[in-house]
Amino acid sequence: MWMKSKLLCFFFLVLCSPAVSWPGGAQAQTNQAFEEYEVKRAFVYNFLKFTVFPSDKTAETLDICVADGKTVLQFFAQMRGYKVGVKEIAIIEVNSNNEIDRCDVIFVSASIGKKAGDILEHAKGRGILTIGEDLQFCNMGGMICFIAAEKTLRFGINLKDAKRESYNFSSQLLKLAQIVERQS
Amino acid sequence: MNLLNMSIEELMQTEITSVSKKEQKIADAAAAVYVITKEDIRRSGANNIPDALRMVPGLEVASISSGTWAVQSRNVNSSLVNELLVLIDGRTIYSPIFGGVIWTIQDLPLEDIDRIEVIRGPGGTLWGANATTGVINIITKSSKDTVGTLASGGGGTLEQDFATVRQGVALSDDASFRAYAKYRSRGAFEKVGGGKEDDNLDDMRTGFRSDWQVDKKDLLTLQGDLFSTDSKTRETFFELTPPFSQSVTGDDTATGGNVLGRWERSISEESDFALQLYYDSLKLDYVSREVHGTMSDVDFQHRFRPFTNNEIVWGAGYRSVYYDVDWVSPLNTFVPEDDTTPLYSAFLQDETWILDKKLAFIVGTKVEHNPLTGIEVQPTARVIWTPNDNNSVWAAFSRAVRTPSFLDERNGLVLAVVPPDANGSPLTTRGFVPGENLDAEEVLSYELGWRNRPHPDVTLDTALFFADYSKQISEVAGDSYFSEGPPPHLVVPFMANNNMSSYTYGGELVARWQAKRWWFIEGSAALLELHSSDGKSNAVPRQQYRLRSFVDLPYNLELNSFLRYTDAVVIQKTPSYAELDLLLTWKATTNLELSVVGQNLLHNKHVEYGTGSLYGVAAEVPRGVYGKATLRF
Repeated sequence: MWMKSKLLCFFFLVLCSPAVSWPGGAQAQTNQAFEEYEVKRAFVYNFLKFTVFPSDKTAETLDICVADGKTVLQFFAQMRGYKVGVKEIAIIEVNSNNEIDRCDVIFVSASIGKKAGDILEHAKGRGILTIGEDLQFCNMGGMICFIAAEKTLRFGINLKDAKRESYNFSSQLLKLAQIVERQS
Repeated sequence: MNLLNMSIEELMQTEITSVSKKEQKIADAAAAVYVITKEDIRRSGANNIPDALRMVPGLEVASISSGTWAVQSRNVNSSLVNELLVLIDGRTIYSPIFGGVIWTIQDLPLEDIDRIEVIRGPGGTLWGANATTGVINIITKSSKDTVGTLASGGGGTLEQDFATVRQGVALSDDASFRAYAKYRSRGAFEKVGGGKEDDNLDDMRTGFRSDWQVDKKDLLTLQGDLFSTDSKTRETFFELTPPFSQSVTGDDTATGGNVLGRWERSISEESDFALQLYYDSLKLDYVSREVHGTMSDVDFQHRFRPFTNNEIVWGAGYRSVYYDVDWVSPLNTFVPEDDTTPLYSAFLQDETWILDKKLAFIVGTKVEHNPLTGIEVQPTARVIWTPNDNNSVWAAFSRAVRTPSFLDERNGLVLAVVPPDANGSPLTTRGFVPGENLDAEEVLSYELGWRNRPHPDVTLDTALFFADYSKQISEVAGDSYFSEGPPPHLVVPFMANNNMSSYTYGGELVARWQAKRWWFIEGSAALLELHSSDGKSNAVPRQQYRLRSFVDLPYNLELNSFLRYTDAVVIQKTPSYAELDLLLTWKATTNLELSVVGQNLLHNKHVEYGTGSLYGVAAEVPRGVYGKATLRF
């Protein structure tokens, strides 16, 4: 809902794009680019819509866990209550590997750094959709990852690892993705 | 634009900005800022800028007549408020000739507005003089964001007819252009006591904007507008012979235009500069007077970081103002009738942050040389502390000035003519006479604010203030004297001097709650107390409350409401009132949006400005309904 980003924008001002204009009269360019995480959040919502979940995922809620990254959590929290098919989205913060078990999806923030590998290890065999913020995430076995282009975002899908966890994706999503493979 | 409704293809074309570029804006959070976004405007049902400003806590907006408004922040409101600075894309629309903003002629298409930033409290250091109670900055969208065709129009009872057409084109990957044409017609207000006022409004406006990202570092912008506004009016003309006063109705016509060019160059991530030039011309052919005014302005500013954790912004500017004022009545004067005057300004602001950006200090000052009072200095010191992600506290001290307008110093205006009577009282005129060598008014302001997020879906924003005004300009009756005329008559002059002082204190609280994914609520309260040395009290609304609600319904419907209460302004004979606007919108297709708006629904009519126009006639705002259709492709 657009107003949620206004809540954040208003509160911080520093997170507005741009916040308050320059003094003295001369105006800073009205920067029509969007907040990085506003866009990523919208991407993630779309990924979920085009993901074919394993057949044993029958719960009414879609538990999306966010690993670390306070900024990410605040943005993603605004997706609460949105629907993907018949499931309602729940956003959960996780701080340790043990908490991951209940997740359907896990978004691994870039701020996690090297620990991302641990999370991916732990997620194996649990049928969790793993989403990360850089290409390396997919190379380590993550299923979907963002790839930064100059001013816009692209994304990669590690189809092999996804299929191993019984995940699949609509061809509409696959045709826009960069197909990536695990690299040791 | 709700990103969550966009397709993946669209998202892949959406530009993102990284957080670091915005961290420079910490300083701007050390003030009582409220941003009206495009969605706020779209969901308010407002059909003009002053009505869109009503939602801002702490702002007083009063409709005086169908085509005129009074807008003020934290102080006494009137049709010519000289303490509030208003800008459109960096161009001042506050006129130093009259000492106020003529809102009637600022009818830009609301669909072109990207946002309106309102700062309550002095903005003298950053924005210059005549920003003692606040700054309103209206920012239009880059032409990059208005590519395509937009056509909107509608009609109703008060908003009788209106239509806007806008065409935007992408000239290349880096350059874009748009042009618009707009027309509106507003019906008359109700007369107190029955019947309609003679105050309907018609205006036409056209303009363009072009933006060109020349290379990675340079951005050029060129924009301009032309307008013609016609409002019916009733004026009182005074004479020294019977019948001594006459009521004349006629047309007040205002025409004018402006052109503005800006060059922004990014030197590095932490350093950039901007150069802006504009020219503005206005011609008033009013029943009471003919005025011609022009403004030429050049401004430069530069931002850089001499050390890490330290940023400096500085700038300099020059403005030339020309006016020519001709009162129709020979009893009124403006001395000198025409003049060209320069204004020089420079400012410097330093921002330092420590403790991992949790604590920031801002110190700055602006120095201006103006033709009426010479050099004026406006310093400010601010601090902002952000202990964690959910809290931010700021404090500010500022000194700001309000320079006398040409109207204050040079205007002679007869307010009443009293005929001779049977007891021997002579023919008498009462009126303003030009002031002499007035000083600038000064305000010392102390502010405190707290932003808080107690819950992920709730934000609270509190601002408290105390402002001490001195050397305020007020009109005081001077010694009567005889004038030979002809005919001979007694003159009771009201002369301006700087002998008034006052203080104000109060606060504003805004609470926002995303109650459900489809329901957003914002409530605000503003309290204001004014104590003035001339003993006048009850000159401001002591309380104002606002409640806005946005509801997204199924079938692409929206129901938006705006409930407001404004306390009485006793001295202006304006009673307290509560009013409600409702807006129902239907996104019929991706390209077509239809809406029905009901305004001022709670009463048949109500007064917002009791003393009315200059000669004391109050008009009432009627209940109104209008329908609007917007087509985009």
